[in-house]
Amino acid sequence: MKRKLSAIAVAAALACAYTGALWADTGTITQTGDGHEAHITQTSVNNASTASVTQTGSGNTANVTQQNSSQPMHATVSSSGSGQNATVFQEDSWNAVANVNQSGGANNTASISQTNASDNFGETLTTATINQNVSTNSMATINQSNADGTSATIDQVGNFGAASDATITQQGVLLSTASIFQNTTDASSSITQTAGSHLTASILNIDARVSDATITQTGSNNNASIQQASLSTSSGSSFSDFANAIIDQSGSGNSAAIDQAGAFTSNATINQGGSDNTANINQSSDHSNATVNQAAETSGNVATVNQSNGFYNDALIQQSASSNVATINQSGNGTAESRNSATVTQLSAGNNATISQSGGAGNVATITQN
Amino acid sequence: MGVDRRVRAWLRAALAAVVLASGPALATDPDLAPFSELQNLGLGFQELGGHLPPPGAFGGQNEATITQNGASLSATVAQYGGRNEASVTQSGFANVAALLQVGLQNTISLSQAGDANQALIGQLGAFNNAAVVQNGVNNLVQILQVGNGLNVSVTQNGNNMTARVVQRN
Repeated sequence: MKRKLSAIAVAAALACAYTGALWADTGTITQTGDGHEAHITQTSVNNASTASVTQTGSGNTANVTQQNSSQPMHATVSSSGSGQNATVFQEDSWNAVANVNQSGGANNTASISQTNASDNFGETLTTATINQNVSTNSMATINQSNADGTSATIDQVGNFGAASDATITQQGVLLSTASIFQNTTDASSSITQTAGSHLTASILNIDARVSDATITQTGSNNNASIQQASLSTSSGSSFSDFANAIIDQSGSGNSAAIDQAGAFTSNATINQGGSDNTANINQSSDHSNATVNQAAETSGNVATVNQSNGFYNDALIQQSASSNVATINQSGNGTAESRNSATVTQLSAGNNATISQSGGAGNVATITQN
Repeated sequence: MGVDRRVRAWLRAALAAVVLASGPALATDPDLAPFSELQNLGLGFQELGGHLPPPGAFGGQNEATITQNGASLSATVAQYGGRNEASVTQSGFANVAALLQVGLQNTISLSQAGDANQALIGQLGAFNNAAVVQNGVNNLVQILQVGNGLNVSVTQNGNNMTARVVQRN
């Protein structure tokens, strides 16, 4: 009986202490050297939880798991060196923030996964950010699912002359954004947003030589943009030649834009299904190829392709259904041997098509309306 | 009442305290610090198997300090009280520290210098603080904290070390 009373007393004391205090659960691991492993798991916490891992060296691994919190959860992994591997998993929170920063070295990987992280009345409170700075041949991945009002960002900068991969996947999200910035050659970037609306996806690739960028969106009222450009600095210029950009959108009220500046022998493709969509492609170099497909049984779509400063450029717009508008402007200096080509195909009535070619010679323009 | 039964009774009481402190929403969560885990926490340490809470547990203040130099040493601390403090310093090779605290406010400071050292820490209470520093090669630290107000700091310098931290209510 006496023991039972003491247990109850302890329970009461702890309960009172809990209700009267403002706590934060904190886990911090700092490691210096090679071949380390750091694991932090925070689950079912009532307090704001913070997990922080800092690693300096090579071949280190960091794993952070945060789950089932009624309070904000923050995770940060910072590392410098080569062969660093960071993984953050966050689940069931209204305010999840994850940051991974990797600098220097090569062959680093970072992954953030956030699921069931709802927003707070439209505010973006769940964010995932990966920064890989001067880290060659690195890979970054962000997955967000069932999380409205979220933000995902990957920055891979200063990785001159090296391959890097960046992938963002958002599923079942509303009012969310995804952005990738790469300053590297031979890069690959991909954003996939499914089952959502009012989404924004953007990829900016500087020094995008032999780089691929892809955005896929399903849903309505979404926005996608890809920019691949050269970079001029006091020490010289970089190039974005042989770059490829693809945007696929299904749904209505979407907009897509691809801008390839100074990108020799580059390809841009926009595929859209649904109605009331807008597609824009701008290219400013030789041997460029632009294609816009706006699928059958859709109407009210607008497609525009602008190609300047070059020859051997090809532009193609294909539209089905009615009430569509297609415009192609080519101002490069084509020749009889290296001509520019513009083609518009509209397979229904009530459409509008315009092709404008200026400069050079031997250019070809074709409009087909059935 | 056998030794195991008495330890189990104390762990059950401590678990009840944590569940009450965690609030009604978490009290129904089956993933919350299941008794088996707490039981393992107390009974899983070979070194701690025979230790029992002292009379008047949770009412007093305990302080323990261990300093060891050498190889294959073992430091074991089990504290049950309202305010527990343990400080352990080990230097050498293949040393082991097993530290358990159950109380309202727990603090552990552990320093290990050398190679192939291991530390296992368990804290159950309202305010838990654990600070671990390891210098060397192939060292391991594992920390489990259950309660509210959890705080862990691990610093490792060397190569091939592992730090594992689990915090929950």
